[in-house]
Amino acid sequence: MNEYTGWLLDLYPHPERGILLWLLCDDGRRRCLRQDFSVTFYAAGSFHRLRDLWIFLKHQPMRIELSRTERRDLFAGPIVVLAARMDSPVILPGLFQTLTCVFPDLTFYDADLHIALRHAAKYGTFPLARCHVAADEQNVIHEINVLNSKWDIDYDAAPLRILTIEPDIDPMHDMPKKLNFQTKRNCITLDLDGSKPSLGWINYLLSQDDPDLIVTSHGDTWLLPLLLRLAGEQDQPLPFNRDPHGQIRYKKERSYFAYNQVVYRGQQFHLAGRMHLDINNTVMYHDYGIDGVLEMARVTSLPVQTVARVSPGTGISAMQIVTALENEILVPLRKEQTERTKTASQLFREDMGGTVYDPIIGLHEDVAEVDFFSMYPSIMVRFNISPETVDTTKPTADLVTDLENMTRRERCGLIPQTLAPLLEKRYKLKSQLLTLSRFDCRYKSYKAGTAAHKWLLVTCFGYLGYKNARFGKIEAHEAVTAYGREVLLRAKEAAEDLGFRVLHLYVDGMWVKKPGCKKPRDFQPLLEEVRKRTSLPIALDGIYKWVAFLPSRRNKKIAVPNRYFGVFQDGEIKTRGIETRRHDTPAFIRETQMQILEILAKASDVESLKECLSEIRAVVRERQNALRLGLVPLDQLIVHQTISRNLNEYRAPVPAFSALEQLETVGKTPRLGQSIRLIYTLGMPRAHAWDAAGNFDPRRVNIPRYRRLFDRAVDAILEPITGMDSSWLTKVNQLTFDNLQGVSMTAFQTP
Amino acid sequence: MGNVTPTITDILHAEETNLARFRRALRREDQLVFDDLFTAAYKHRAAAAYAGHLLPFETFLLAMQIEDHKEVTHLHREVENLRAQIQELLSHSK
Amino acid sequence: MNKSLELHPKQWNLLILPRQSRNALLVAMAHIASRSPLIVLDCGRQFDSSIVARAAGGRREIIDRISVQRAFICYEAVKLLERLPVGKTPILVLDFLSTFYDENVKIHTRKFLLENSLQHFQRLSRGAGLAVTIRAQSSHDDPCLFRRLQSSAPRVSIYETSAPDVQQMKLF
Repeated sequence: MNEYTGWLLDLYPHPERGILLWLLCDDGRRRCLRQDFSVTFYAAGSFHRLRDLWIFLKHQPMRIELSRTERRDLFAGPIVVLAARMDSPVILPGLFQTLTCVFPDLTFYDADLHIALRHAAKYGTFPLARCHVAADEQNVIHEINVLNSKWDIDYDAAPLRILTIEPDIDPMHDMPKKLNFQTKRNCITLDLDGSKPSLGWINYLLSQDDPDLIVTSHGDTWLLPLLLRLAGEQDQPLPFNRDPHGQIRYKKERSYFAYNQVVYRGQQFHLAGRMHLDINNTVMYHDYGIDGVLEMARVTSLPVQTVARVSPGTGISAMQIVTALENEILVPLRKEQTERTKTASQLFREDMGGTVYDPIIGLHEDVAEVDFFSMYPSIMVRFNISPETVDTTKPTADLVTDLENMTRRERCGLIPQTLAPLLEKRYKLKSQLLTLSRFDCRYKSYKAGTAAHKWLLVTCFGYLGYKNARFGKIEAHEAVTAYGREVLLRAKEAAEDLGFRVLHLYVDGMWVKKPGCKKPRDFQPLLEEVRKRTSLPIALDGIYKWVAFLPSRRNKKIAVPNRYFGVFQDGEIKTRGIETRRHDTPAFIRETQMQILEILAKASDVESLKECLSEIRAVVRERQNALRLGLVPLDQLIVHQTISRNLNEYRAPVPAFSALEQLETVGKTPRLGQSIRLIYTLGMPRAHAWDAAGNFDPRRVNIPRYRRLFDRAVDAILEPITGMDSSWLTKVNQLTFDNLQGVSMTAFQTP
Repeated sequence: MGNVTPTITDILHAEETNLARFRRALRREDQLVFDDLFTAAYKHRAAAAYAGHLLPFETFLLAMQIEDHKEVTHLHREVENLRAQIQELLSHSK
Repeated sequence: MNKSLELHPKQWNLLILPRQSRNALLVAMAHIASRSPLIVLDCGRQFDSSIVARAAGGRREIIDRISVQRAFICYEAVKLLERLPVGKTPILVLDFLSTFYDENVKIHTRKFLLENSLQHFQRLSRGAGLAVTIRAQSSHDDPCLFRRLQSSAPRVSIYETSAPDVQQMKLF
C-alpha cells in the first residue's frame, strides 16, 4: 500500500466505476487516484408507482441495488422510500433525466447532487483540502483522511502552478493579434496574425510546466474555443485536460430571470485534472479575485471551476445540501413547502421587509456608524430560524415577535447548523484583519476570504424565501425580517435612551451622534446596551469626521436611504449611492467625483470644508475644459449598460438600442443580461457601440450630455457643502415654504 | 420568493394618485402645499410600515401633522428668540 | 367585469382577463367577501391586500373572510390545489398559468402538472364554485398550455378593456 499526503485538486466521476481524485502530493507529483464511491438516490410516492419504478430500474443495463428503507424528510420526519444504489456515479445524471420523464408523479431525493458534495458529506473533503490517502498499486484508494478543516483561518496553501493566458486586446472590442502565456518559469507570446499560429509552444508549456490552474481572460467565451478549433484544424492536440482520458466539460451560455433582473452566464469550459478560471466569466471576481474563489470553494465544497461560475445562492444551497447529507436528511429536487393559508390582513402584516429610516439630510459631524455583524444570518443562528423550525403549533415554541407563528428551539435547525461555522470563521477573519498591517502577506487572502463570506451570508437570507430553494420556506423568511425589524427598533431605542440622535437606519447599520462624543470609547456604552437588548453582536464601523446624507435628485426635501459620502477619522473616504460607486458611470466622471472627495477629506471638520472650495473649483474647471476641448480619452467616457430586452422590443431609439443595432451589424449579438459599452453621440444614432468595428470620429461625442452628467456628479458632492446651511439642517424643521422653487413668501400670506 | 406585497412607498404613491383629481382642481400655490404634505408623509413611511394598518392613510395624515407641529414649534421658538433679542436691544438703547 | 367573477355553485369557469384588470379583480373580491368567505389561490402575485381593504372600506371582518395561499412555481400550484377541499366556500384561482410559463421546468413536466390541475378543477367544481383567471395570451407565453386550459374549461369568459384615452379631450 502506498501512502500519499497532499492537496485535493479535483474530483469527478470515473467513466466506469467510482470517482477519480487528483492529489497534489507533497513530493511535487500530481497523482490521479481512483476511489470506489457508490451513490444512492431515493423515491417516494404511491406503492404501485414505486413498484413500477422498481421494475423499471431492474431492467436497466447497469447494476442498481434496490431496497425499501426509511429516511428522514426535513419536515415530515421518517418516511418510507425506495433506495437505488449504483457504483457508477457517472450514470446517474442520464438515468435521472429518464426517470423524471417516465415517473413525473414520484418525488425524488438526492438525485441531482454534485459528486463533490456527496464526497464532502461522507469524508469531509473540500477543494484543496489537505488529505492523507492510502492507495494500492493500481492507484485505488482504500482510505482517505482529511487533515484540516474548511473552517481553519490559517492553513498550508497548496503550491499551485499557475498558467495565465490573455489576449493583447479585449476580443469583444477588436480582434486580438497576440496571446500572452505566462508561468513562473516561462513567458511566451503567440502571434495570431499569421495564417497558422504555432500551437507547439502551447503544447510545450502545458506539458513542461504542467499547470494546476489556468487563468485566462475571456477563456470561456473566446480563447479556449479558438485554440481548440485551431488544434482541430491543425490536428495538433492541446492537452488542456491533465487527465488524458478525460473530456472537457462544456456548458452553454444562458440568460435567465432572477430577482427582478436578467442575468447572463457565458458558456463554460471545465477541465479534468486541472482548473480553468476565466476572470471575465467569474462571478464577483472583481470583488475578491482568485483567493476569494478558492475560499468560496473551500467553504461550499463545490469544485473551484464550478463555484467561480455560479451565483452565491448556489454556493449557499451547496452548503445546505452538505449539512443535510451529513445528517442523513433527504435532499429534495426543489422546494416542497408551500406557504400556509393566511387571511388578507395577515398577509399584509407578515410580508413586510426590513426597516429603513430615511437619513436626516445634510452635513453632520462626529457621527458613529455602528453595524450589526451579519445581522440576518446572526438572527437565523441566534433564534434558530430554519424552514423546519418555524410555523409550528408546538406550545413550547417561542412566539416570533410580531408574527402569529412560532419557532422551535429544542433542536438546531438545518440553516443555523449550516451558517454557524461560516459566521464564526468570518468573525475571526475580520478580527484578525483589524490587527494586520496592509503589508502582511496574509492581508490580501484574508480580505478576499471575508468578501467571499460576505456574499454567501448576504445571499442566505434571500435564499430562504427564494422559489427554487430546496429548503426554502416563506415563513422562515418572514420570521427573519420580523426579528430584524424588532432588533433595529431596539437598537434605535437604546441609542435614544442614551441621548444619541439617530441620523439614519439602514438594514443592519445605524448612524448616531451625541454632543461631546468623538472617540470610540464614547460609543462603547451604546454598543453594550444594544447587545444587551438584542443579544446580537454589534460593532463600531468607524467615526466620521463628517458625513453628508443626500436628498433625492427629484425632490431635495426627500432623503434617500443609503446615499451619502463621508470621511472617517482615519482619513478613509466612504461613499454609497453616488457616481463613484456606480458601475455604469463613465470613468472620467467617477474619477472627478473621487478627486473632489480626496480634497474634501483633508478637512478636519465641517467649518474647514469651505476652505477646500477654491482647490475644488480649479480641478472642476480643468476637467470641464478637458471635456469641452475633447481632450478626455474616449475610453474614459464609456458608459456600461446591461441589456434587458431584445432589439425588437425597444420602442424608442434610445442609446442602448443604437448600440445594439451597430453590434448586430458586425455580427455581435449580446445576450440578455450582458453588459454593452457605448459612448453618447450627437444627433442620430444616439450612441456609438464601443465594441463595434470601424473608426469613431471623436467630434461626434455628445459633450453637452457628458457635461450634464459631470455637473450632476459635482453638484451631488458640493451641494451639501455650499448650498445648505448645516446649522439649519441640524434642527428638526424640514417643511419650509421659502425653499419652494419659484414661489415667493408673499404667495402664502392669507389675503 | 417572499415580500411580494406592495411596499409602504407603493401605497403612499397610490394614495397620492387617488387624490390626483383633487390636486388638479387646487390653485397652483395650494398644489405645492399638497406636494409638501405628501413629502412629510414620505418621511415617516418606516413608522407607517411598522404600524401595518390595512388602510394606512390615517397614519399618513398623522405623519403630516407631526411635521406641521414641528414647524410650528420651530417658528414659535424663533419668535420667542426674536422677541428676547428685541427686548434686549430696547433695554440697551434706553 | 362581472362582480361575482362567474363564481357559481357546481361550476368551474375560466376567465381570460386583459393585463390591466388586476385592480378591478381585487375590488370584485372585496364585493364577494362582503357576502361570503372566499378562498384565493394566487399563482401570479396578483393579490394586494391594500386594494382589497380599500374596496372593503377598511372593514376587517370583510377582509379576513378572504383566505389567501400563494404559489410561485407550478409544482406549488398543483400541491395547493390538491389540498383544497370541496366545500361551501367558493374558490378563486388568480393568474393560474403564470407559474407554468417558467421555462426552467421542462415542458413535459408542465404539461403533466397541467393535466393534474385540470382534474382538481373538475373535483373542486362540485363545491360552491370555482373561477380560474388567466391573462390574455402574449407572444412570450407557451400557446399549447393556454390552448389546453381554454379547451378544457366548461365555460370561458373573455374580458376586454377599451384602450385608454391618452390625449386630453379637445374643447373646441
